[in-house]
Amino acid sequence: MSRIKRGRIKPGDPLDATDLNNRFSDYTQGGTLNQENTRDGAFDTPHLTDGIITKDIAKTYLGTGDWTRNTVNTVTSQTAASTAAVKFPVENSGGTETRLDASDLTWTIGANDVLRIYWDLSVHPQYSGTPWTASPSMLPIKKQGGGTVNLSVGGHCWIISLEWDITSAALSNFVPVFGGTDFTTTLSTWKGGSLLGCRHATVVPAWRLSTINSVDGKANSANTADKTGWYGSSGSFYYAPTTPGITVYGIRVVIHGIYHPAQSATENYLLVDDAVGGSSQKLDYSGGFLTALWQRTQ
Amino acid sequence: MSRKWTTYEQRDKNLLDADSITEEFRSNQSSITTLDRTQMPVNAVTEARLAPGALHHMYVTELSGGPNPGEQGNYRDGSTTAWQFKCATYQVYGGSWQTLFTKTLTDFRGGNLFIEWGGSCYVNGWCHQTLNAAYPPNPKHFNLRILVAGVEVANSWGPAIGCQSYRLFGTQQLPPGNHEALFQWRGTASGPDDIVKEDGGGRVMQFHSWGNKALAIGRFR
Repeated sequence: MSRIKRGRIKPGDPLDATDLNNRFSDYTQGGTLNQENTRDGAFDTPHLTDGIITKDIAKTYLGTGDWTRNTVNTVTSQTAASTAAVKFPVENSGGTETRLDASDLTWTIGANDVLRIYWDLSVHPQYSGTPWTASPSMLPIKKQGGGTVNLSVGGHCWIISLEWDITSAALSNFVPVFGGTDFTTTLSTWKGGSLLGCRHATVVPAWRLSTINSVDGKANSANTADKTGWYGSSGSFYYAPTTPGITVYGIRVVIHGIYHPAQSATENYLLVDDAVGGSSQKLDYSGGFLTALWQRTQ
Repeated sequence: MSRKWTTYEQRDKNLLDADSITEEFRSNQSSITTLDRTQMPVNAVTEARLAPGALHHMYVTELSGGPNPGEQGNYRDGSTTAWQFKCATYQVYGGSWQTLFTKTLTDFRGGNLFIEWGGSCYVNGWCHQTLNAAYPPNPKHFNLRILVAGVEVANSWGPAIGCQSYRLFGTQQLPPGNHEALFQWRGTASGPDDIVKEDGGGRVMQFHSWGNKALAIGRFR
């Protein structure tokens, strides 16, 4: 309902100046300018004070910031599946974490607020030999001409995920952002995370596997492989709290892997595949950006 | 802030008649029912003066709902072996468009809609080029599209081969209404030579998706 809803003045109505002028003072009421007042281009940018939609924005460089890729950082793959995921925060070339800290944030996300996080990072997955052949995930497939050949479904991937610190400005308690798995769930002898908790996670293929010239449902050869070159990875996350009041002091991006698809009786997982891990299976990264927006949802 | 009279201001002890007032109202009718931009001072519109949803509305879908939030639930073939997802196999899925999740954009007041969708997927890349489908080959992709009120707002050929993440976004002018946004996927159909099962009979995973979330912003006019 529009705030201006008084009826027209009719012949015979008692009138005085105060009553009439009061009609035009209605605009100063709070919280009542609604969509019926603002249609047909009623407002332009100059009419709006700062913070009508966006309360604050924070942005920082990620990684080395070297777009020529002469300076890169390297993360090596995990070789111990029975331990929790080993996460590497994205750092600059001097080994300091590149992240949004309390000076950028200290945002209390309230009712009708949303926290939007976006990031991008230039990455380069590398490997040596055919590490996937050591994985327990190899599948026996009928081979053209007789026998079988083991093929990998090519699901191995790195994970780049978002963490925040909602404890204090000291930034000593980074945890996965709301609803995100920490990849510490045990499945058989493996560690990983359910796909239900992977909204904060971006996956990057560790390698690209195919098999050429299969025929009539049978493989003609083992996996053929292509390396993944420099790769533009990115991710996003939205947090519109049902229980408002969380204060965000820091946001960072962490890299871990190598993971492989798996399943339990009821859920799908990404599990650390230590059998393919090693110093030759690594992820280089150079530069990117991390941006957070604190906005009103309405 | 107060609105200014444009014809003549009423003062104490003025002689008044109804038409003189109604004429002023009529001459500024748009600013009575909707504020007139030419009469609004700079920085007149503050957060405190706005009712929720007056200028914009953001719709956030962190989870897709259903028994497996954020995850593709159209096809979950349980005949895949342990180191694979329960997901779409060619035994149960033929390659048609599927709605991964929906979001109703309630109280959309008419204007511009920005909408984006992010997530991750797996695509089996074994058989993009097989003996009997070598020319042209049959590359597998995880096609993506967003429909709002039945209109395609954004689409993508989508990732191919292995696990990858995606994000697509688009804009659309829309009339007022509670519009429904559909987030749909489609995997490339099988070719004649495709490998669809293991030697032991287990089915081979082909397509899956997880970690899906969407955000839409309505800017009303």
